[in-house]
Amino acid sequence: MDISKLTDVKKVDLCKKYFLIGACFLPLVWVVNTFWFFSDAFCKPINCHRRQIRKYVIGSIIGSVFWVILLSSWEIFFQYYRAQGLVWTDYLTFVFPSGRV
Amino acid sequence: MHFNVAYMVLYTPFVKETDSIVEKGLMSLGNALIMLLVVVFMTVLLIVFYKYKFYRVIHGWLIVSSCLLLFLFTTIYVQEVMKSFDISPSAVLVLFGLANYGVVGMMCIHWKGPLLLQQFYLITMSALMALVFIKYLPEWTVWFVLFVISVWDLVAVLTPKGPLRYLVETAQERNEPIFPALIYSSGVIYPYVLVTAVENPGESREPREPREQPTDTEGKFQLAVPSTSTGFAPAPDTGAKRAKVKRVAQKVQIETQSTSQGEGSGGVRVERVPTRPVQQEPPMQQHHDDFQEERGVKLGLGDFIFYSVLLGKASSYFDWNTTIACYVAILIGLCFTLVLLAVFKRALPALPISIFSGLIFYFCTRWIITPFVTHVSQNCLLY
Repeated sequence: MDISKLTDVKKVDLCKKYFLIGACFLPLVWVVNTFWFFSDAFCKPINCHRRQIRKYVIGSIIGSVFWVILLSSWEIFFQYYRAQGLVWTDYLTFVFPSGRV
Repeated sequence: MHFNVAYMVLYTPFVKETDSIVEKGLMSLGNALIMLLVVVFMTVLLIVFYKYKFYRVIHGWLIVSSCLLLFLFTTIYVQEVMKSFDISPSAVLVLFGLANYGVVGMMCIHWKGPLLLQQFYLITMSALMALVFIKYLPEWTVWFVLFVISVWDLVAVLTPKGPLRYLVETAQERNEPIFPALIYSSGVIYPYVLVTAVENPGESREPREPREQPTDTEGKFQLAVPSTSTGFAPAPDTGAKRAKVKRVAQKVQIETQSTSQGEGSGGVRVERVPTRPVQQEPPMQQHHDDFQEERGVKLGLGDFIFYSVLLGKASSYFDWNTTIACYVAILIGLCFTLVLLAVFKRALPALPISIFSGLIFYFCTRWIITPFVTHVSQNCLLY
């Protein structure tokens, strides 16, 4: 869809829906929300609708950053212990590449 | 994946190892005809559902198929990629990431999402489906299947009783778009004005808005080019052997803009300049307010899948000549199809021209050009 054809009310509605959907452990939705509504939130003259969109976009940005930090710290933690060869890491590994000769 | 092979054997049962060319050819032809039968059956099923207005069934079918593609096949693909790149993330991260990817995909395809992302997901799914075909169909069967499906496309769209033509015409009569998950569109959003265009093909120009670009009025013609459509959903339990293959219907739409009335009757050219017909929208418009249809050239996903199959199979022999030849052939075929679309202004199949030219180019390159080039460069005559 092209949001430039939507009315402001509908834009706010869509942004809000994306924000709420992203709150269900779906940071990618937040990322998409950020990129999609960024120009509407920050690059255009302000009015009451844009203020709301701005609110949701900022929320999405903060949420995405939080999830990125969380997931990367988990992954670093996991790989550190996996390199040491602990057994519990084997249970959580997704695939065992056999490597090349 | 073992179960994939098992499913494919269901469709292509003739897999005896043999050296005789005739036998191989006959087996491949048999396989191709069986796949064609499956496709025809699924198409007829879809038409029946559409005719009797079982829209929920069709939507459910589409959602299940796209779920399958987005989650299961992507997981398998990601697994293979990780094995070949030697990276081994935790299952938590991978499953979380895949769940996110799948959910965003479902939202973009079936609900609302950025156009670019929707195009990305549709292309990715088509490529994945093509990969399945390339990997799990037997050698010669692929070529026969391509040929047979193109012939079917031609027949189904152009004959007066063709099922796909019926589908398109019914959709036009009912003033509905064909299901959103089946079409790839390359334009910008545009309120749905199919009604006027179809009823009055010569008069469907909205009068200019004074504040719009002054040199363009617009007429919209829907020229649909649907093709085959089948559904793929493996049975949930291991015992059941039923599986339906899904490819999605093919359709090409073209929107034309004629030059302004001030400049006389212009020619027809395809453009994607967004104009907004605010005033003269027909009353139907209000019903379709939330129902926004993209402008620009539209192509069905089945087209993408079979083009990708052709190209992927051609490149799997590690020869750049054939790959580039097929690529060029497919693109030229597509351009030619679009030109024909503008000329005839009616439903045209998008597969045959591209696939036939691709096949011709592939076999000529493989059997004639490549040995010639190899021979010539080995003897240092050229290159």
